[in-house]
Amino acid sequence: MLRGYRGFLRELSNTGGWRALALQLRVGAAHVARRWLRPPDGDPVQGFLRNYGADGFRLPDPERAALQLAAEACLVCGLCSAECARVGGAPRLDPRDAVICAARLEIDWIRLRLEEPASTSCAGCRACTLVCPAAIPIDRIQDAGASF
Amino acid sequence: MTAVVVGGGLAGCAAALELRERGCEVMLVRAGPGSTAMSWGTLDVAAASPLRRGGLPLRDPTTGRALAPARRLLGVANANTAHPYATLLRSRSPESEVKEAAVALDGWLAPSGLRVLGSLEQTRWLADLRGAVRAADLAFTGAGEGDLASAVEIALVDVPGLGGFEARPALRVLAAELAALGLSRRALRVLRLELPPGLAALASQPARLAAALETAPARDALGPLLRPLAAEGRLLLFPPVLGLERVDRVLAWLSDTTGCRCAELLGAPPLPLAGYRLDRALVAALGRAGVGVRAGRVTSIETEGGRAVGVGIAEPGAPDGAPGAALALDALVLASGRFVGGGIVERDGRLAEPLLDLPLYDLGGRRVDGLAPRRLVRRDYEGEQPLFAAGARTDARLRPLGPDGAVPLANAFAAGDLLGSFDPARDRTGLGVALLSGRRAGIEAARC
Repeated sequence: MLRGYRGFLRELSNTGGWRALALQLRVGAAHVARRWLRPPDGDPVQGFLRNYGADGFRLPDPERAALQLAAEACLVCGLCSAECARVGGAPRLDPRDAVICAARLEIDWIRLRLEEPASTSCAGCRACTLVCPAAIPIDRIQDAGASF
Repeated sequence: MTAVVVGGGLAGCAAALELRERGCEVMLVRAGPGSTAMSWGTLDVAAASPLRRGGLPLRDPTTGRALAPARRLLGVANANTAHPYATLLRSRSPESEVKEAAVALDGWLAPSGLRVLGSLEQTRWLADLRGAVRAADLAFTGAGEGDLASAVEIALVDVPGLGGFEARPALRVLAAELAALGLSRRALRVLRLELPPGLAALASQPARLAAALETAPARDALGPLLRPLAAEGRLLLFPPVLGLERVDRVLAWLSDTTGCRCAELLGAPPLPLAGYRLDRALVAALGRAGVGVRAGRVTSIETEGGRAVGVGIAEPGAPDGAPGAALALDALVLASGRFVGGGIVERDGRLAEPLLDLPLYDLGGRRVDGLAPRRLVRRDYEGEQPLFAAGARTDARLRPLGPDGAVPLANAFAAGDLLGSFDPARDRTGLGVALLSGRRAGIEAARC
């Protein structure tokens, strides 16, 4: 039990999850406070951006939605990780992380951004994309995560 | 003569290499690694999982004696006349057919350090990374050295922090399964291997750890920590991360350092390195033999007077409908796989074979193309699933049959998982069908 909990904490600190967790809490608490203090008025889109833009949220975007849909086909087979390790990608880079993040909620894109050393160290060799049995455009997901 | 092979898994590679050995110009088109790259580190011509439902019997039902894999193979070929083995072994002895195939495969893979171990005479008892015991037959370097039956003491090596492997639960499963199989009089233990700091940081990324184990600095750091694991007659079973490309070298170094027999546990995704190494070794063999390999997906087959004359290829990542390249051919081998490889797809909600619109059949011989896939699954985890046995049927020369039961293309051959009427996971026929049918399709294609 304790070992599992320690593993969870280590995972959090290794992946920058602390910051993602803090962000989730902040957004969760801030949401209630903002609605209370500043009832919605005017253009809802502008209201959304005013409230959440600073935390890294964006409006849904068809390109990103298409990437998320593609990422949901991930078999978690790990061949992209193996290929990335073989071609000598940056040490902490794991293409599978980007795909799994992309398949989850929008907030995980923020986590990608927080993990800048890994996502920006991708050399863009496309080895992961070519090896993917589910034909997921991993290179585009990496780019989207890094440029978010 | 020019041949085109569609699909780069074991079946496609075997067909391409056989064609090349017979002097054909061969181009292999592959969209990516198929399910071969997700295999477990065994070849499994006729394996058994005796403690699970389904699959081949471990013992003769009348005498109760353990069956050699060759007998299991005959059993499956006799029980289901539509099984690819029934076609492949017609008027041939399974022992010699499989032996010949294993020798050929061993020759292709040996320069990459992968050997084919074992035979159809004896069952090889191998453990997977969850502790389940499999009655395997042929296996590759890595897991193949880990025969449990010949070990006095079995130790699972626990690497803290390594994702996808928990040694203690695996040991409990292993102990229970060995006892149930009557192989229990062995000491079992878990040995903890704390990685040195440089490697411990890689434990959450098994592929990087595997790549590091192939380098001298990592070995120098790990060597002193390995020596305490040694003991007389002990079999050390490591999680399947012993090298990205040359598992033979990592194993030889481990055996030298510890003085014990060392092997990997069988492992599949999310620790896919056994399959990955096999895929790499096959691609290397294609390169050595002079087979052209082209990345892309075959989108169409051109026919003329009952023969295939060309294929259209879409570049990887190209959008649908973009103009692609074309290849002319004299013989065609379809080894496009089943669901992972894209040999069978869901098109407009219906099951279909996308290239030739071949009719597809399930285990019972029912036509299943045109049916919705969800109608072909049952809510029974280990039971028979019609969807997983869906595939094309062929004549005795492995030419796929059309809807009227006749051969539509005289120079097209099918191999591997595209062949239906068997469920590789439930039968535990593993890569055996891929190897035997791939070779046969290559030999037949070279004749036309």
